[in-house]
Amino acid sequence: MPSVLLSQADIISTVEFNHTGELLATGDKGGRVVIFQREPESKNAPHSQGEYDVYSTFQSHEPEFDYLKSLEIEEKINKIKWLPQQNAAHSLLSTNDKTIKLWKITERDKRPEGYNLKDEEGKLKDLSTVTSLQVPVLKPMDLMVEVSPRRIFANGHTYHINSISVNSDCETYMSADDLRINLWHLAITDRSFNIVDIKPANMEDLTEVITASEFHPHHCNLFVYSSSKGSLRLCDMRAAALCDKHSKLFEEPEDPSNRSFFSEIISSVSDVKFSHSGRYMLTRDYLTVKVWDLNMEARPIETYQVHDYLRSKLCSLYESDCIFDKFECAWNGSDSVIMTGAYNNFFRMFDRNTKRDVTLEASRESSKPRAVLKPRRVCVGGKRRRDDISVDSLDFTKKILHTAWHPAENIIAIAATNNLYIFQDKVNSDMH
Amino acid sequence: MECALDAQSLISISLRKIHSSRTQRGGIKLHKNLLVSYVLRNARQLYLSERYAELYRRQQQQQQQQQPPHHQHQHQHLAYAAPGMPANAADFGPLQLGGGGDAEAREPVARHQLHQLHQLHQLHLQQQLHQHQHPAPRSCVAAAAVAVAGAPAGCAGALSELPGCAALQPPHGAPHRGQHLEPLQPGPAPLPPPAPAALCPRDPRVPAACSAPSAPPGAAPPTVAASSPPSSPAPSSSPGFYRGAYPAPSDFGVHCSSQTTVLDLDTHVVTTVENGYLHQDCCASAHCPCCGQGAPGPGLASAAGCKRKYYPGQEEEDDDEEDAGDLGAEPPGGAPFAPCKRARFEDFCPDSSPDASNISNLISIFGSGFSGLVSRQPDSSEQPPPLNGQLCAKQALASLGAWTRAIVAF
Repeated sequence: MPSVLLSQADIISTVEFNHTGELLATGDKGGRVVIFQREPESKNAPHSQGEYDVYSTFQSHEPEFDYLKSLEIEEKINKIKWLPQQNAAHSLLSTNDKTIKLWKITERDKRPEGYNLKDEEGKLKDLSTVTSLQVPVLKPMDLMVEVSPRRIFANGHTYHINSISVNSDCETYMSADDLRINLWHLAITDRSFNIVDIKPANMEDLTEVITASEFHPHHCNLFVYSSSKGSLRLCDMRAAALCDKHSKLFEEPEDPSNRSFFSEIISSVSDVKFSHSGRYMLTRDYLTVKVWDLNMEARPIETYQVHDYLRSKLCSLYESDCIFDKFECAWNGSDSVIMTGAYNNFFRMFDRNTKRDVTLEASRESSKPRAVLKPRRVCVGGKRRRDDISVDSLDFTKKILHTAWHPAENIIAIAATNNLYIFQDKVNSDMH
Repeated sequence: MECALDAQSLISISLRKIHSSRTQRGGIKLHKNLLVSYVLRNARQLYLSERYAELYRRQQQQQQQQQPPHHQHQHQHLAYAAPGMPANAADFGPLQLGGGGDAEAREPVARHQLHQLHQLHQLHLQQQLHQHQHPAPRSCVAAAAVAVAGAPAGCAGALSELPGCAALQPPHGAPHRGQHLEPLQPGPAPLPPPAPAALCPRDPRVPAACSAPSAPPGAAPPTVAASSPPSSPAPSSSPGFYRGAYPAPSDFGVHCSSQTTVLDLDTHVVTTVENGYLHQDCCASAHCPCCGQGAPGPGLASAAGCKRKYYPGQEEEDDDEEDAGDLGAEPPGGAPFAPCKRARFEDFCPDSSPDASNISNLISIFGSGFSGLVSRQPDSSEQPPPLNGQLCAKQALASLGAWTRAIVAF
């Protein structure tokens, strides 16, 4: 297989469906955003029902240089979050390490024709040739998607932004960096409110950082943030202006028998997601995904091993920096299945009801149209089946960090380095 | 957990990661560096445990050779894997400490000093246990900073500008909140200089005075941990010296009138002053200006025949260090200086020899604590660090001046 020179800029860094699932946005390391739109299913062309095609591409962020601190600011898109649609236009927030931008995506499929003073190319007409007046009419044209930056929320963060989350009130959103969380109004760019600040007075005393945060899907006053120590804090904005004091602290005591040099690293939470119901939270750390009940702080209600066979390889994963990979996690629309990525272009799904799990691979060979994904298996010694992959032959450069699940249907988007895979479950299209 | 790396390599790898993160695109990643500092701390804990284990083991061997068995009960075998460390921690290659001949000459002194170490280690373990039971938010970064700064602190020349060891914080200082860690800035220390100087005879220029602790000897270690030095201005800022373990000079007068041994509990450096010369046990103190330049003294001569590593870049690093300025090298006047006792490492990891020599260099760099990691120095001429750990250390040393001006500009 010929090796293709991989451009760093093409590596996908975030994937997000909009609220209806009609649009799918991806951001990459080069600061670009590509939006896919689902083709409407039609009886005429049953083969292409529900496929996603490119809808729009634009450059969201450019590399910048902070001269004061002599810091280069990467253009990599860290997160994209869609705003709920309120009119014909679509809006999304995209962020890099420092700056959040609100983009408005509009369609234009008609254009006025028949101006009196201008001709078709826009040149001014010779007035002497104008003999009568006409009313310009709108004529259909090829669809044009226009994207424009409506707001730029800059200078709100000293540290690297790791997450943004739109509030259910559709007016505010929050952005979180390593040590602080800010609350913004979507219409106001020149100020924001700091609602969480865990920066110690003396940076020497730093013990943990914020790794992810999200608003509750229904309660506009509640949000959660995760820390590098593996804890979750649920905060209520009604309690105080500065939510340093959490309302609830979700923490699982560490298992002392599993202690190692890298215990702190693998317990760091890389992603947190509320369930659609708002009752549960899903967290991902290096080796597991955990489901937490908002009503129980002492420990998660479910823990799923993603790739426990890596526990004995933490040393080499530390050397190669793989141990710092931040995997995301996702719920399906009915909160019955959770999904997360792994190495070797594998991704895993766990059915919470049946307790069954499956490992699938996102690769060109296994992704021919209408091909059924074959479950994969990693063997850890013992008897090995024919198609098993051994732990030692896993490719750790092929990692699936970003995955997304359609809000209503069994459609998933998997980002495998610079490739985007979209899988649909035609048989079980409806959620159960 | 099977792990091909030992604590030494882990420390070296971690330091290299921290250093290279300074030149990575996008600025320093706070989260990643914080996690790496945790690994550093864990590796250091194991490293020190192994050191104590070796120290005791040698002492026991000497005991068995010279003394009747009834002495052995004084030195119980401790579990040197720190609680929570992987079970096979003890399987890591043990470290051998140099200066065998010396130890025999100072045997009665060494025995007492080992007893102090024993008490220290018990205290260590107790505190760790306390830590696990009551995970108070403690400064692991400071611990990591201590981890990296504590190791070669015994190296006389390297950190002589320190305002005593007041700058360093105990690794498990739940009740103690040490003051701001800026060991490379010879600024005003919160503690009055005489007290720290008495406890931390790191400055080779003041050997005799430094070795006189002001604490009453024989105080039980657990109570010491809870108390602050009486001379500190405010309890909240006390560095938490474990004064009780310091032997009074009078204890040694009986055995060896020309010797005084002190143990710095913060940095775990055992220092013996003998006849005006300074012997020091250095943790990973492969880099020491005196050792690199002076003729090998009695401490080294006996080690010369044994397994030890001479690091080719040693001289270069010493040159760099002199240029760096802040690192004081020899005492003024070039007084004859007994060389440091180097830690000898078993030859189980030959590839790590360049790393081992640079650990102490990088350690002294990162002794400036986490704030030093966070603030990035504008240095456009700084090239990306090569993979060779040795050159990495050279660059780190070259930019040492920049580190001392670290400003957390947030």
